[in-house]
Amino acid sequence: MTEQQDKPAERDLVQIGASTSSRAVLERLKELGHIAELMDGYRLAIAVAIGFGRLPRSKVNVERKTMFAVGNLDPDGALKEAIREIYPAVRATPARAAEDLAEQGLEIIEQNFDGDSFSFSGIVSRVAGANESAAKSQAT
Amino acid sequence: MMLLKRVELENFGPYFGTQTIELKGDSNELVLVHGENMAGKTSLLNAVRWCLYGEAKDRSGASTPTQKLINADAWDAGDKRVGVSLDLLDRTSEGDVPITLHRQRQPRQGISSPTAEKDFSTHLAVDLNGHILAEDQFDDTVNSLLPESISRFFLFDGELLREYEELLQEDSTAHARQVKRAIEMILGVPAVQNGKTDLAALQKDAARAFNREAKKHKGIEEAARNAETLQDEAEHLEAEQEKLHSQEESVLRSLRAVKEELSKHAHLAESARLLATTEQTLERLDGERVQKLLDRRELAKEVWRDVLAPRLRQEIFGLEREHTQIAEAINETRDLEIKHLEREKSIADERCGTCGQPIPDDLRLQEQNKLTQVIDRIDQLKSVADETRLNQLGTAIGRMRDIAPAGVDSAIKQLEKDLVKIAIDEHKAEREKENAESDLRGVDPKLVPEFEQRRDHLNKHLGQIEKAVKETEEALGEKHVALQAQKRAMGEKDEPGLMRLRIVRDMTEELLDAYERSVDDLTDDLRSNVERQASEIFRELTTDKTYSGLRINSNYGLTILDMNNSEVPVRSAGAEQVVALSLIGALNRLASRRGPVIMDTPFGRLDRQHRENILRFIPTLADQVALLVHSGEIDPERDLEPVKGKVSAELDIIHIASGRSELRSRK
Repeated sequence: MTEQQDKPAERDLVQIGASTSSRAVLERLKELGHIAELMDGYRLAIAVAIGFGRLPRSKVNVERKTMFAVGNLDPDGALKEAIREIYPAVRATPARAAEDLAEQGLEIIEQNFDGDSFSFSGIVSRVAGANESAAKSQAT
Repeated sequence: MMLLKRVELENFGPYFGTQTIELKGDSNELVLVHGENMAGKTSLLNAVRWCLYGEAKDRSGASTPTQKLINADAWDAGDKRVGVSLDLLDRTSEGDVPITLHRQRQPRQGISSPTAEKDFSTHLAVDLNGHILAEDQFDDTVNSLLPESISRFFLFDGELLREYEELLQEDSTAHARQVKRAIEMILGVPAVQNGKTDLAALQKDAARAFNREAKKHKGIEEAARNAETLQDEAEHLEAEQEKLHSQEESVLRSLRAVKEELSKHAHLAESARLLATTEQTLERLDGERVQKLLDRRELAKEVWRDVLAPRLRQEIFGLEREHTQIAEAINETRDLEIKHLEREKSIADERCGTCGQPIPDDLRLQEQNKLTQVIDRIDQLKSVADETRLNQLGTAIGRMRDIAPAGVDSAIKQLEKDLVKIAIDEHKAEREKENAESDLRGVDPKLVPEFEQRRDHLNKHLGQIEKAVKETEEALGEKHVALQAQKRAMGEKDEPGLMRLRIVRDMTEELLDAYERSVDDLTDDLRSNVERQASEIFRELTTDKTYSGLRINSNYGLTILDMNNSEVPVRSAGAEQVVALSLIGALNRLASRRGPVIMDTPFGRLDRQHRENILRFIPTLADQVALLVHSGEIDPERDLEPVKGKVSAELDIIHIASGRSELRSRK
């Protein structure tokens, strides 16, 4: 869990987006038929970053273009809830954290392309493996 | 009688360069050629057949394309010629006439890599007793020696003798009729049948002349008119019948040619079929891949939940551990606070809280120390036993648990496994497709389907012709019956001018009838001779002494008879071969034309005893016999006793390397 402190003055986002390079990864996923909608890849990217234990960064100097309304991305609020619980430091701004986690997740996804192929089960098992190792080291 | 003196091969099949077989070229000559499977025995038989008729056949009876005839090493070395020369002797009553036949195929000028028959040209040469004949006299020379239609009785493969089985069917097939015609040709029947044709023409002319005159005579004019019409109709039917027979011949020829083409293009047909199959496979795999990708895309919508699940489990585990620690600290604090109050009270009362007895001073001091410890522990626990945090943790754990995994990961895993398999299958199919396309490059893709279509069309046409032949025969029979009725109706009116014509008509009719009977008698005699000779040979060859002989049918089909002269309905493959050899032996004895017999793998289906019997018989089969045998048929050390002293030459086909053999005389 992060030790960062909440910044009460900061307001959370109602619309989130991605940098040009991250958006390109999403579009590649869609063009190759791996995902139906860009939003599916965006959600996956957030989950991948969380799964690999990445922390939401407070300040990244990358221009991000708005892509989705948070309400559409996370209609049942499950992602927001997960971020709030996993990263208490950003409890007040989970959408902002999600945007950065998506950036980091899309970088990981890009590295996991094999030519034009992309394996979802490969990502699932790698995340499971990473968490298993973390659990072991925590237990010891 | 034709005898072989020398066979010279040039790049023919496995025979690289020029290789020669020398024979005595005399009667009573038995030559044994030993060679293992694939060494080149059939190629030797084919070389003789190819030189004579321009066609080599494989075991299926299909024609071998020129490219496949040419020795592979010669081809690779750039020598793409193939040739065979035969030195023959035509033994006539006036003496021996030496004849040399030479056939060669080579690529046409300007073609360095021939692939099709059209890329080769044929060169023929005939030397008749020192006179070089024109190329177009090659076929006439061969026909005068050994026409192709009877060659099946001289140059044959022991494994292909089953064709004589078809002769057993009374309702003969077109192929059986062909074999029957070949048999009659070797027996000389066509020559006497020409006389029958001439007489039939005379008889028709006489009948026509009579009818023409009869029309002028009262009382019989109507019958004469009817007879004239019937004769016209019968002649029309006969012409029709002749036309149908000629069509049948032509269709059979075309069918043979189409089958040859199909056989030449068999590998192309296979490639075309493979191409079609792989294209279908690729189409199916593409469909499956698209569907699986769509299914996976659908599942991928929720896969983020499964990606998140391990981290959430990890988080929940940590939070639960903290939750447990706080809860335990709170519980311990509560217990300690109760103990603290009890101890404080008993210290203050100076009496034991349980039994009410006064507490001694040393014990009170001890209690005081314990109380201090409890207070210290409570102070320690206060930093952990945070009830607000406990509640927060409970809520957080509950919320995290609410984010349930979608459970699509295993389905996605299976789909991805399937997609990998599809990709492998697609790759394999692509490779097969490329190979098939490479085979078919430059080949008209419609070629084989067109030949197949043509073959089916010809088969259908042949069936229609056969049906029409039967119908015409029946109609002709009816006309002849009706003609006889009209003839009877005209009676024997002895008017001047009519009587002479009637006598001529009746005489020619009787003459034709007598001639037909004679021809029938002759063919019956010939058939009986064939039956007698074949039975004699069969009894000599068969090891089953319960067989009394053979019975011939109208198609020259032979059935085995038992001791009671009853037909044996079922016969083994070996017995079939013995029967076929008996027929061939009989035909050679009775033949109007004789030639050398070359038999490839003659003992393939025979047991040892039959082999011995046949070996003993073979020197009498023809004036010159060459047997092409493998070690499984004949063991030279053990099996040659029956022909001891009769073998004039023995050769070995030595298999040197793949696709290369050499002929060597055995010392």
